[in-house]
Order: sequence, then C-alpha cells, then structure tokens
Amino acid sequence: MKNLDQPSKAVSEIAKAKSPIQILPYSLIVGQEKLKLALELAYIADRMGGVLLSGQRGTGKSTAVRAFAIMIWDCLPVTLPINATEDRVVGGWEINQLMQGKPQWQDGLIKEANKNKLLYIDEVNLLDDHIVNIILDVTSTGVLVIQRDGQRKEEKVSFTLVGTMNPEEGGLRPQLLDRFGLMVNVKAETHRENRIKILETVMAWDKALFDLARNDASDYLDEARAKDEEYKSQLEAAKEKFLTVEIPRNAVEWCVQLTEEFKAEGNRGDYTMALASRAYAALNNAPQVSQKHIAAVAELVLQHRRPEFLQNYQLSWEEEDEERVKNILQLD
Amino acid sequence: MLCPEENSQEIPLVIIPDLTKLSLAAVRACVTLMGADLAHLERHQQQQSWRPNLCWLAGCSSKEEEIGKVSPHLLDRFALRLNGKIEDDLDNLDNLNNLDNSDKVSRIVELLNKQQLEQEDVSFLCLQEREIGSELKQQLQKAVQHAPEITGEALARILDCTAYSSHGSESEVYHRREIALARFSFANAQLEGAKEVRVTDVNLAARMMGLKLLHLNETEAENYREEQEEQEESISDSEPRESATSKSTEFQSSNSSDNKSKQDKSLSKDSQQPVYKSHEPESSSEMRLKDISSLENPYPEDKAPIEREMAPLKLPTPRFLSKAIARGTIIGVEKATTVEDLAIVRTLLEAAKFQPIRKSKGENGENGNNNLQGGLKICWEDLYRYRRAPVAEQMLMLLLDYTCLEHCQWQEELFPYLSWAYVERATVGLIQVGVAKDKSQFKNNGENLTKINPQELKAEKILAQSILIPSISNALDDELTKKGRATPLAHGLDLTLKTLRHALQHGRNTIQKAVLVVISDGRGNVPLEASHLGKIHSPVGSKGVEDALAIAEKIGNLDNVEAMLLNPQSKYYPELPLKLAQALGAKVRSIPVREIWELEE
Repeated sequence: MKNLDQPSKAVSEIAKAKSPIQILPYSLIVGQEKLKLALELAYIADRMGGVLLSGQRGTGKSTAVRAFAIMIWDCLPVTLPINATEDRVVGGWEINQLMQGKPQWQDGLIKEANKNKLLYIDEVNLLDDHIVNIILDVTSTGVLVIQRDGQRKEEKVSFTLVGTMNPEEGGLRPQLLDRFGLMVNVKAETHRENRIKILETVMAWDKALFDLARNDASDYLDEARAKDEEYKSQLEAAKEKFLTVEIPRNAVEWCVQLTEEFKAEGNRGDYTMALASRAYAALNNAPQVSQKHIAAVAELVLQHRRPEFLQNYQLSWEEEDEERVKNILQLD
Repeated sequence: MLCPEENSQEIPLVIIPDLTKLSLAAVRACVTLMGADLAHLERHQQQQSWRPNLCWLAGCSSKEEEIGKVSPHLLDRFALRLNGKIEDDLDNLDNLNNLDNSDKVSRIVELLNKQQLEQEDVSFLCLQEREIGSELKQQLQKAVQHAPEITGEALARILDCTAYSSHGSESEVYHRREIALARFSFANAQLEGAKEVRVTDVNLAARMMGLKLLHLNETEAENYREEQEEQEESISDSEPRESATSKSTEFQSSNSSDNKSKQDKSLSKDSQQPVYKSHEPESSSEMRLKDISSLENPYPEDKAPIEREMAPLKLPTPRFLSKAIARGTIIGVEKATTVEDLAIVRTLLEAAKFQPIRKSKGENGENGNNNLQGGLKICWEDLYRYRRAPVAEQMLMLLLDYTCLEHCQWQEELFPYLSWAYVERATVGLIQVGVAKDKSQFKNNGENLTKINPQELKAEKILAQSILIPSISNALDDELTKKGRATPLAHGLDLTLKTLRHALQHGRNTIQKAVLVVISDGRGNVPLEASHLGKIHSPVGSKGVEDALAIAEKIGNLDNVEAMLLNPQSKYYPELPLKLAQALGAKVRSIPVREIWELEE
C-alpha cells in the first residue's frame, strides 16, 4: 500500500492542470456504495450496457458520475444535456465554417463518447422523445447512422451509457430502460454518522476550493487525488483480470434461475447478470464467480427488469427481494 | 443570459419573481443549472461547458395550494428559504364585517392612507437604485477573505434542525437542506468575522429559516430559549449598532479562548452572546438582520397537496384539434411540416449557413439562375416552426350538488365524461354546490347543527388544467367530501355561467367546445342574493329554485356548450331536475338510485 499522506508531485500537477471546473474527487464521496459499485462494474466489464442512477434529489448522482470519469479518464464525461438538439447528438455542419462557404463536419456527442467511452445523460427521463429514439437506435445496433444535411455516414460506436434521473419527474420507456445493464436506486444517507461525514466533506471541499483560489494549492485536494490514483490502478487491474475470471456452469445456471424467478423481461438480464458477477469477482480479486458475487450484483441487474417495476418506476428493492435472492442462491 | 462571461469576476444575480409562474422551458433550465458543478450547451452546432456561477433569488408563495403546483425537483434547488412576506393589512379586511359602521369607516381610511404611503415608498425605491454603502462593501469583502472552521457540535446540530419537519413528524433526509444550513451558518460566521462556526451560528441560521430544533435535552432547550430571548431582545433594540459592539467585543474575547469547543458543548450562558451582532464597529445598519423573520414552515411542499400533473418537467405532447390554433407558450423549435407558425429567426439562421454554397452554385449556374447576390435564399428544408406547449381546446364543466348524491351511483354515470376529458386533454372546471366546509361538522357537533356556516351558502369553483390534477379527484372522492346543509344551486349555476363565458368568449381563449354536466335534483334553497351576502333570511320559499332556473336559461343560450343533466331521481319534487334540464337545454340521463343498483348487483 502506498503512503497516501504524501501525494506525489505528479498527482498534484495533474490536479492543477485539470479543468478549472473542480469536481469533488471520487474518493471523497461518502456512502452511496451501490452507486459506486455500479459505475465500477460498468468500467471493468465495458459490455455491460450502461448504468441508470435513479433516485432522490440531492444525493450526489451527477457528482459521482463526473468524479468517476475524472478519476478514470482524467476528463469530464461527454454529457448530453436535456435540451440538446439532434445536430449535436449525431453531428452536423460546423456553422462558422459553413457561413464562410467551407463545409466542415463536426462530430456529435455520440461520436465523442465513442472516444471517451462514457456518454452521460443528466435527467435522462426528461430527454426529448426523438433524441431518446436516436440513442436507442445506436445502443441497440452499435452503429451510428447519419442521414441528414446531405450526408450519409455509418460508423461503429461503442460507449457506456450512464443516465441519472429523479423518478418523481416520470419514468423511462421500457426499451430505453432495458439498455441500462445496471440500475441503482439512489437514496439519501440516513445514518447520522454518514450524514455528518457528508457535511464535513462538503465544508472541507468548500475550504479546499477557497485555498485553491487563494494559494493555488490545496493539500486536501492533493491527498484526495492521490487516493483516486491509487483506486484507479486497482480498477485497472480488475479490468485486466476480468476475462481471466472463471465463470463455472453452475454460476451461469444460478444467473438464469434468478432472472427466471424474478420474471425479468428478455434475455439481456441473464447475460448482464453473468457479466456483472464476473466483474464483481475481478474487483474482489477472486479466481472464479461464486454465489456471493452473484448475490452482490443481483439488485443492480434485476430491479428494473421486474415486470412490477414497469408499472411503478418508483418501486424499490426491498429486504424481502434480497432474502429471495439468498434463498434462490442457497446462501445463509 | 445564463452562459458564462469570459474573465468576469462578477456573480450575476438571477431573480425569479414567482416560481409558480415559471414556464416549462425556464423550469428545465433552472433544474439543470442551479447548484450544478457544470452546465452544458449542445444546441444548433453550438457547444459549451461552463461552471454556472450564478446567484439565484426566487420568490414563491408558501401557501400549500400554490406551492403544490411547483415541481419538488425545482424547489429542492432552493434549500435556503427566508420569509419575504410584507405585512399586508388587506388580509384583515375580512374582519371588517365584525366592526360597526363608524369603526369600519375609520379602518378603511387608515388602510387607504397606509397604502398610499406604501405606494410612495415603492415609487421612491423604483426610481432610485440603492447602492451598497462603502462600509458594508468593506465588511463583505473582509468576510469573504477568511474561512472559519466549523465545529463538530455545529455539524451535529445541523442534523437536528433538518432531519425533522417543523410539524414534528419524521421526514425524509434531504442533503441539500442540510448543506444549505451549513453554508448559511458558515456565511453568517464569516460576516461576523468569527474564527469558528459554532452551534450558536447554526441556531441563529436555523431560526432565520424557521427550522425547529429537536432532540434537545432539558438543559440545551433551556439554553436555547435564553439564547433566543436574548437575540429577540437585541433585534427589537432600537439603540444604534455601536451599543452592540461592546457585546461583540466580549464575544470576540471569549471566542479567542482555548475552550471554544467546550463552551459549544455545554451551551453555557457565556457563549450565548448574540453572534449576529457585528464585530465591526463601523458596520452599516443595512446589515441588521431584524428584517429577516422566520417562516412558519420553510419546506411546505413536504405536506402540500399535489396540484401539478405527473412528471411536470417532461416536454408535453402537442395536441391540437384545429391547426390554426398555435397559442401555447413557445417551448422550443422544431422542423416545420407546414408553413404555419414559422420560427423566423431559427429559419433565417438555418438558411444563412448555406448561403455561400447556394450563392456559389447560383453563380456557376447550377440552379439555372444568377439572382442570388444580395438576397437570402431560403429552401423548404430551412423552415423551422415553434414548438408550443399544448393548450386545451375543450372543457369539461361539472356542477355537482353534493346534497343529492347520497342515494345514487353518480360516480359510475360520471365516469364516461371524465374519460372524455382525459382523452381530449380537456381543461376541467368543477363547481361544488352544497359541500360541507367545516370539517368539525362531520363529527356531528351539536352546536354546529343549529347554525349554517356562511361559506356553505356559496358554491365553490375549482379550475384545473386537466382531469389529472389531484384537487379534482379529491373533490370527486366520497370520503373526502361531505354534504353541507344548504344548496346554493343558483350561485353554482351563476359561477358556471361566468366560467363558461370566460372560457368561450374571453380574449385569447382557446376553448372551442365545452361539455357541461350537471348532477342536481334542482332543489336549490339559497337565493342568489343570499349567497352573495353570506346571510340567509327565512322564509326562502321558491326563490332559490327560481333564481337557479333563470340563470340556467342564460347558460342554455351560450353557443358551443353541450349540456347534460344527470338526474339523481330524488323522491321529492321529481319535476325540478327536468325543469332545470329544460332551462339549460340539456339532455337528461337518470342515475340509478343506490337501492336498485344494489339489488341488481
């Protein structure tokens, strides 16, 4: 284990060199373990198909996604805002150049996400329907087809879709919901200790920004970035190990049994369950997938695939669902 | 306005006068910008990311029926709530009825004089922009130069202020509220020049917001009361601020002692010096916090009835019967399929992009003409039209006489009309006749039986944008409504007439057709005059019925109203509903009485 009290100079330089927009470092996020786990699993197994973070307002969903992207890729995620227009999503002519009579194509957000591997949609349930249709089309075929402004292009694209939403403002169409491999029902931290820790972190973060503005340096921030670097290397190691983790036949059978028992829609659930449990095993440095690994990811894979969820998108994963998973997997 | 200005150190102040009246587009913008670390613009080939460094100040009614219209998602962004209410004596006008004539006259004169004075004050404020004094400026500049530490006890106190709603019941945890209180306390300590944010700072900030403190033991509660009294005394103190300085010096000296955290813990009386008294002897009177009075409940949305549609931030589906109507609020632009309601600016921008290419093609003769020099060529593909929020083109007008519903299966009969309203996205008007106003009456209180609540002599009107608004379903719920002891049918029909006239004839109305459904046995026993006066003089005789029939005839003369009377088949005066239907020009449909319906079951 590295000595985290002494952040390396390089890390500090990176922290300063990064965008002037400062985001709370990933290692400083208090609680929200499921949320963090889902993002990490989607990174380790990049065919997972995306993460949906649905939950109460003010629980740090957006901050977590941005912090994760900065930790892993040293840049903010490609973000699709709710009022984005089609030309920015799929690409179009660069206006300033065009006005001068020089047609020059500008890639859209989907193409940008193909480079950065993460397409983040804040308030995904408020997205305009025709933009949702474009995203659905690309995520289901893996091909971006452009037929606009006199252009015809087809390009293979692959990215992880991460969406955040507040279910009070409505749900998602089932087709889009199914594209998200994992879903987290994000709740506010209710434990007093954690809540105090959240306040401490926010106030310390405000102070760090204050110090950064005045002294161009913050030990607190440097320390956190160093922890991020450390954790990033752990995740990278898990990602490398992912394909070497064995998934025995009985583990696959458990995955299928679980999706059957929970009446999950379609077959995507089986595959995602296997991928997620394998990624979880890799994260925990295990040689092969066990029932415990499957149990740990069951909620993330199954909760939005239950038929009841399509009727009530505020339905949460309860203690009894957890018990049911344990019974099916024959865990004590 | 909301995009960043390069190299600008200033924080723009965005003022929203009334959150309840904010358009959908503005609400969506607010939700994505407020309190966000990052904002993105990805529209029409424009791309920008920036930190939205804005200061938001919004006004919003704290009345439950108003706040229920606002998305909680938006309200959550405004975690810091302060009372902005200006004392309004007009609220007390209702009390005039209790005064004799001479008192009434003097009271009205007093109110008029006061209003005149206030108007003069306001015009003065409008004409002269007030500048922040240099002393205050210095104080603020000094305040932002240092960051006090927040004590562990102060953090713990924040949780006691925000975990529970002010009405005492446990509520959900909202992190933004806790963070807002922490930052508000911090800002206050900064202003005071304090080195630490202490429990007293949190108490003061909580009190300013109207948050109640729970989980206090007896000693803490006693200390808190004393602290509150001291602060109230000093707030009402009319002495100049210099007098507060000596106390603040004491505070500074106690603050500099080594036992600060211990003092916090014990909440000893020495540490209870009012922290909001400035440490700056030269501070301006503008910084006094006496004008900040607390709200009774800073988060009324937690228990307010929902008066908004589901998913209020979603873009609605446009739905127009007649293509000529495009009167909804503009919420964006979209590719045009017709040449109606064109978004000119967007269309010109789209066309402008291609001008050099089109012109060069024109010069080369590819299009067979050379007349494009100096002119803008607009093609069909350039056309954009406005995307508008849907407006209702149909209206369902209901008049329910609650005094005749008891013995009939009225909900079954009403259901097809409610379904129609849903399918057509019709706006809904509901007139409640004879509904009990006083809930204590439900308990059959003997005293109430002899006296009619004057409010029951009037009908009530509820207007809703759609049938899905909860106030409509509540009004149609047997459990939530009880019959009253008067039937102001004439007043109900009068309200119906006025509402229909307004919807069908007033200004830029969009209603093309109204369906009026009346459920009444026609036995109105309150004359129209009695409803207006709020007093009834017996004997009433048939005046209530006559008034009702006269107004019903006027409704019958309105165009574009399809009327239907659902007859509850009362045993008494069975001819009255038929007369009412005749006056309304309405079709009649009988509602099965409960006994028959039950037998059929």
